[in-house]
Amino acid sequence: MVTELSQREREVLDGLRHIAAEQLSGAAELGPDDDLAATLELDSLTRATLVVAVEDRFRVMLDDDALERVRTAADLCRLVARAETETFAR
Amino acid sequence: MDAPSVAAVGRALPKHYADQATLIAALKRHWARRHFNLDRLEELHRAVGVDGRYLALPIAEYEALDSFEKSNAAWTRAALDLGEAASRDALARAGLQPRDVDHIFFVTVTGLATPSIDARLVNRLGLRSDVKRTPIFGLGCVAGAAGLARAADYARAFPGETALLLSVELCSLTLQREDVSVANIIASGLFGDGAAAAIVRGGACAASGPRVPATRSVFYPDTEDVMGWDFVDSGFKVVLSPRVPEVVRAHIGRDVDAFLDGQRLTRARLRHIIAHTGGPKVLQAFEAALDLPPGALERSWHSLRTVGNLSSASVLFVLGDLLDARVARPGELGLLAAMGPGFCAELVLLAW
Repeated sequence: MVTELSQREREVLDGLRHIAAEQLSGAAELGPDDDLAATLELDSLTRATLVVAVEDRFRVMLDDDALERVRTAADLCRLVARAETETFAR
Repeated sequence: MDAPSVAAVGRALPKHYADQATLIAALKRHWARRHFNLDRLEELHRAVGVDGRYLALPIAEYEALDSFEKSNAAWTRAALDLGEAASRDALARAGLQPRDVDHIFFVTVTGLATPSIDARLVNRLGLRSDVKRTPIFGLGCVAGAAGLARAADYARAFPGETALLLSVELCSLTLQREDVSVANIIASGLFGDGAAAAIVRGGACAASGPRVPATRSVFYPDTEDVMGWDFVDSGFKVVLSPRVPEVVRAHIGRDVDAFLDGQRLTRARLRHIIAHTGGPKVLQAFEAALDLPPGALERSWHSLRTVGNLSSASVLFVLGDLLDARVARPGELGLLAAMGPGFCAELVLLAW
């Protein structure tokens, strides 16, 4: 079963696909349930590059502990969408 | 015939020290042009385990270096001054004069000069007019160990002669400020400036330091993309893959064992390890791959913290610290090891 994403979370996923294509090794077909580390072949440097690129693109600051818990693309989309709401609320 | 000896190691650091907070404050403005969360970049910059660096120029003067021509001209001036200071320090420690040098090996990967820095030092130091010169560009971080090995080869061929190995690395003058990639931000936290010189004498000369009974070069096929420079209009752009620690961990244990086996030795005989201060992960990889006890690389860790990764000069700084500490006893063995672009390693056995 494929994880349901909200409208905003789907937009974030599109953004992740762009980042993956432009700054990481391929995988523009990233699906919501794909394991990020495995699909994008993340090492310490590319992981940091992904996080920095996501923060730059969506203009959010992601919490380190929450990032630690991120496994799938959908996890990261939800985290970004939530961070956007929190940023807006502030 | 006795093996060549390392009679002395001299060192020179530029006088402009900047702690990591000062450097971050100076760099953040450039990061802010492209990046949103500067705190995260600061964390990455700090994670390299360096407290501060010595810079070839006062920090305020870097802003004006907006072309390769200007950066390299600054490099040439500073490299000459620092190279002279390190060479004079090494000669003084060895009790030798500039005229005693038969061959000068000069290694660097951070700037270009022709006539090379060694040629200019012939004039500055007053080396003999028949001095042999070998400038070596491009070995990168491995060049301190490789230079020592090549100088030892030379001294083995000419046992009555004396070689001066000089390494000058001014990494700060290669920094591409416009490259705000995460890789470059991490690199900009790691590398520092410094010069080191070693006096290597043939077996027929009087020896006061450790001998070099054997050396070993190891090349890792098909790892060209792991580390190096991309040459761009603005100068040298760093290529530094996170695979470096992995390559070290995968190979260095086996390579050291094979090298020692050829000398009928085992790792247990090594009392002193002088490891290139590549970064925290590289040092951890050395510790894991060689199964070293805690504290075995303390001089490398200390050097990394206090001056940063000085590329080829790093192992010579650590060796100099070890010699200054006078802890090595006759009969003890040491291993000096570094890795660099190629990707490759150079192993140097030292015998006190």
